[in-house]
Formats: sequence, C-alpha cells, structure tokens
Amino acid sequence: MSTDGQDLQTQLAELRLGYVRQLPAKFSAFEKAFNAHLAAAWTEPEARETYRLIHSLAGSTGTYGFPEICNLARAAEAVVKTSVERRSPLLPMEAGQVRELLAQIQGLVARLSGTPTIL
Amino acid sequence: MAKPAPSRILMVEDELDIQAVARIALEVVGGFTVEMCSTGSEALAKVGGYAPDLILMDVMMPGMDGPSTLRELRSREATRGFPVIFMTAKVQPQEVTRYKSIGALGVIAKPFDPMTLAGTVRSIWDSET
Repeated sequence: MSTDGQDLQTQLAELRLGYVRQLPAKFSAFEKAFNAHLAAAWTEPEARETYRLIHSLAGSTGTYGFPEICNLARAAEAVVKTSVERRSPLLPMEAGQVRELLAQIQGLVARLSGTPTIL
Repeated sequence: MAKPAPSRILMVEDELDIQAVARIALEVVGGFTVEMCSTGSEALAKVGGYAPDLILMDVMMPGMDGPSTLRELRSREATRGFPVIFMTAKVQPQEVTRYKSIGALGVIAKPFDPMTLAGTVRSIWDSET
C-alpha cells in the first residue's frame, strides 16, 4: 500500500514538475494575448478568449498547488470578466489593475522556475 | 432503487494539464475507467460509443461550453439519460442551482484535490441518484 502511495505521489510530483517547467510559457502566452487584445480594436470573441485564457491559468495553477498565483490570476480574471460582460474594452484603470496583477504573477512564476524577472 | 456505483467516466476538460491530474485522481486513486475529451463537441461524438456511467464536465470551454453541451445531451434521446457533474471555479450557490436546473447532478469546485476528487464524485452520485 505504501508503495502504491509512493507511486501516486511520484506521479503527481512528476506532473507538477512538468507543469512548473511549462508555466513561464503559459504565462507568456496569456500576457501576449492580453497585450494584443488591448492594442487592437475590441472584439467580443477576442475579449472572451482573453477571459478564457486567464481563467485557464487560474484553474491550472490552483489545481497544481500554486494558490498565490491562482488568487492573483482569479483577481485578473474578475477584472477581465467585467469588460466581457459590459461588452466594451477595459477601462484604463482596469487595464492597469490587470497589468499590476500580471507583474506580480510574473514575479512568482520567475521565482518558481528560477529565471530572472525582466523588468 | 439506487443506481449501481459508477465505474466509467467520460471527462470533458479543455486544459490538458488538468486532464493529467484528473486522470490520476480518478483512475489511480478512485479506480474509475476514464475517457477524456477536450471539447463539448468531442464529448457529444464519443458519449454514445463509450457509454459512460457518468460525465464529468468543465463549465468554461472554448466553443461549446459545459451548460450548452449538457443542453445538447438532454435534447437527444440517445444521450439524455447520462448523468452529468460539472466542475468549475464558479461555485456560488446560485450557480449550483442554475446548473442543477438544467439537469446537472451536482457541481464540484475547482481547484480539486486529486486525493479526494473520486470520493467527491461518489458522494454526489450517492446523494443524488
């Protein structure tokens, strides 16, 4: 039984390690999408996709046991969601809030992956 | 008479990372047999052939979301009987009521604990069937 338990924990640990390795790329993908969304003329499909991406980031970081990142991503998700529901672009203050949250996430991701944060 | 305990699950989840953890949680911890789908459309295509005892479905997915997929399942005679449990981060009481009103058996909150997910699935099954 303890061998099964160890195997299970080993499997989960390996998954987690793989996830941490991918996390910088995942975060980068969201950040790119978010910046592109802000730069271009607002469209509902893009807004919904941006919302879905941050929702996914929040979901996967939570599932893999990174509650701090998950909470920050959820906060960013909530801001993006208001824009989606309003069917209009993020207000400058809202965009600023999301950027601040993303900067915090970036710092945590960099710490996890051991890469220096580019400021 | 209570339904027999479920053993075959069709899971609908677009995030591959979450699929990986859920598979371990359900198969290794829970002893279920699991078929994975990444979209609602894929689930609709597979469900008849796989004939699960239960469908575990994410709410927010690209394309057809969870509630839309459930409505489609319920609209088809061949698939309307499959029990569905949603998985979502949005687990306010009014959301649970809404999902149950469209035919879900229950709702599991995300993030889930891989060590207890299978038990939660069984608890919902036992209390709702």
